Amino acid sequence: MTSSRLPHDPWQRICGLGLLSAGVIAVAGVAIWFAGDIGRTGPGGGHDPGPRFFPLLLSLTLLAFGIGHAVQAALVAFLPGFGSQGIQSAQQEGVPSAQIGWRWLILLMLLVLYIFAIGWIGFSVSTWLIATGMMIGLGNRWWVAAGVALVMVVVVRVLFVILFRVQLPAGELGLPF
Amino acid sequence: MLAPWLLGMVFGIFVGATPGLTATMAVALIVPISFHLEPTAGLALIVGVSFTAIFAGDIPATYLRIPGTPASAAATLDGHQMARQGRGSLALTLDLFCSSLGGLIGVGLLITVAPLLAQFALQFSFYERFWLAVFGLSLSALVSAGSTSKGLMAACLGMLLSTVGIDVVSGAPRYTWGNVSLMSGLDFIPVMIGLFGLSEVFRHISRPLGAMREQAVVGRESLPLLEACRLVWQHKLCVLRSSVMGTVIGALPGAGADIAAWGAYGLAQKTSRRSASFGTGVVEGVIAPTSANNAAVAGAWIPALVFGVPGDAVTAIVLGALMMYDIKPGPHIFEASEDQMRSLFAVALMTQVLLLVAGLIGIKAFGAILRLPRSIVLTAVVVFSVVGSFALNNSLFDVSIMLIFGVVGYLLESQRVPLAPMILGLILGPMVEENLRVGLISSDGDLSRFFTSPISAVLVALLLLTYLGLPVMKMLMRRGGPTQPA
Repeated sequence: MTSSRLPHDPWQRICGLGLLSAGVIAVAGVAIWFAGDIGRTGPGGGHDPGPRFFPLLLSLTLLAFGIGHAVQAALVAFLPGFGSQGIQSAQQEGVPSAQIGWRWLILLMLLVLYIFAIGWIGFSVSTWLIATGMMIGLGNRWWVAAGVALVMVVVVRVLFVILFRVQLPAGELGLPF
Repeated sequence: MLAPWLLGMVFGIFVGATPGLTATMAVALIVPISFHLEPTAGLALIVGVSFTAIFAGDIPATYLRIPGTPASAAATLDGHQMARQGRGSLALTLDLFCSSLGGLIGVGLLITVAPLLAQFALQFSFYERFWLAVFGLSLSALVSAGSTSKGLMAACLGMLLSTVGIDVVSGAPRYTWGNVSLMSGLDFIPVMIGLFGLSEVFRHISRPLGAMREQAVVGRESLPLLEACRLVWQHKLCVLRSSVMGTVIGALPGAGADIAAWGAYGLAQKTSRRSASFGTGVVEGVIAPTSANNAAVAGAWIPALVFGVPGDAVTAIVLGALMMYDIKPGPHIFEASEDQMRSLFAVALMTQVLLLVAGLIGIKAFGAILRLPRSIVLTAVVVFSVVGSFALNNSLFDVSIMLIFGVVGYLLESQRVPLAPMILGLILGPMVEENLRVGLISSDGDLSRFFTSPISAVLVALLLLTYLGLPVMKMLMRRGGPTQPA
C-alpha cells in the first residue's frame, strides 16, 4: 500500500478518487442544502448578492470538482493507464501521501474517548491514560510508557497551569490534579 | 523574552530535524503557547520557530538524505554527497552560515521593500483588494505540488469553511445550526493544529516506525567554522544572488521556501563553472538552496504584512497569529502598528544571529534527536495538539474541531490534496467575499468597476496569465521528466 505502487494499482486509485469525490460531493451537498437556511438579502439591497451568495457559489464549485473527480475515477477504471503520468510527477514533486491503514482509526477512537474523559476524570488523569495507551500501542514497554506519560503530564501542567495560568479541566470528579 | 525565544528556536530545531515533522507543524503547535506571553515575546517565539525549523530541516537532509521539511529537499543533493565523503560537518556549517545570511538579507529586503509597497497599496480599493486576494489564492493553488484541480478544490473548501459564522456584512448566521461556539466562525488555531499537527500523527502511525535510523552518516569531527567562513566569502555572490532570489520567490503567494530553494539551486548550477559536478557534493549546491530557503521565509512576510495575502502555509499561520495580537495586516500596518512592526523587524534580525547559536547546538544534538523513539514524539504531538487547542478559549469544543480537521487533513493528504491552499482559503475567504460584496454595493452593482482601474486590469491580466501559463509549464516539466538527480 505504499505510494510508489500507486501507478501500478489502478483499483486503489479508483477507490481513492471515488472516496475523494464522494466526500467532496457530500460536503458540497450539505453546504447547498443548508445554504437554504441563510438569509437571502444583504444591507445593500439589490446590489448586494447577500449572505447566501458566496457559500452557494463555493458549494456549487466544490460540487463541480467532486463530479470532476468522479469522472476521473471512471476514466481510470475504463481507460487503462489513464493519468498515471500525473501520479508519477506528483511523487517526483514530493506531494505528501498517507497510507490509509487501520491504526489511525484506533487512535481516532482513543482521541474521541479522550475528549469525553477530559470532561469527566479531568485533564491530567485522562492525558496520562491516553499517552500511556498510545505509547504501549506503538511498541513501548508499559513501564517506560507510563513513566514518559507522567513526565509529559507534569511538563504540560508546569507550562500551562503554573507559567501561563491556563485552567485545565478538573473534570466532574473534581480531582485535585 | 530571551528565554522563550531561545526555547522556541530549540523546539524549531527539534521539529525541523525530525524527518516527517514540518516547519508548518512546529509553528502551528507553538502559536497557542505564544498567546500566553507578552506580545513581543510571543512574536519572537513564532518568528524564532519559523526560521529555525527551515534550517533544521537541512540537518537530516545532509546526514540521512531525508529532508526534514519540504524546503530542504534541494539541499539534500550535494549536502548528503558531502556527508558521504566525510565532509558532513562542513556541509552543515556552510548551511548554517548561509541560512543565517540568507535570513538577514531576506529580512533586510523585507524592512526596505515592505513600507514602500505599503505606500503603493494605499491606492487599492475594494476592487483591487478583491483581485489581489483571488490572485494570491489562485497562485497558491496552482503552484502547490501535484494536481492543479486538487489545489483549487482545497482553496475552495477553505473559503467555504471561512463562511461559517455570522456574516459580517449582513449579520446573518451561516452554517451555525444554533451552536453559539460557531457564531464567531471556525477558530483558525484548532483548524490548523488539526490539519498540520494531528494529521501528521495519523500519517506516521500508518507507517512502520523507526525505519530510517541505520542510514545516518553522522560526522563525529569538530565543526570547521573557519573553513566554512572562507568558502562563504569565496562564494559571496552566490549567497547574495540566491538570497535575493529566495526573497522574491518567497514573496509570491503559494511559492514557498521549497520552490525558492530549487530555483536557487537551478540558477547556481547554470551559472557555475562546475555545473556538471552538481549533485556530487559541490559547495555551491549547498550554499544556493540553503541561502534561498531561509530568505524565502522573510520574503513571504512581504505580501502578508502589506496586503494580508500570505505567501505560504507557515506565513498564513503567522498572519492568523498577528491578527490575534491585534495587528491588522494591510497598507496601514506601518502607521497603525508602528511599534509592533519595529519589534517584529528587530526580532526577525536578531533571530538570524541567534540561529547561529541554536543551529550549532542542533547540529551537535542531531544524533540524540534521531535516537528519540518516534512513539514518544508522536504522543507528545498529540498531547500538545489537544492542550494547545484547549488553551485558546478553555473550550473542549475547540479540541473537537482540531480532531475533526486532523481527520480531514489526513484523508485529504492521503489523496494528494495539498493542505496549504485550504488554510490560505480559510484566511483569504473573508477578504474575497467582503471586497466583492462591498465593491458591488458601492458601484451600484456595476461589475465593470472591477476591471476598469489600471491596477485591477494588471491583476486580472496576471491572473489570466497564471491560469493559462502555470498548467502548461507544469505539463512541460512533467514531459521533461525529473529534473533532480537521483
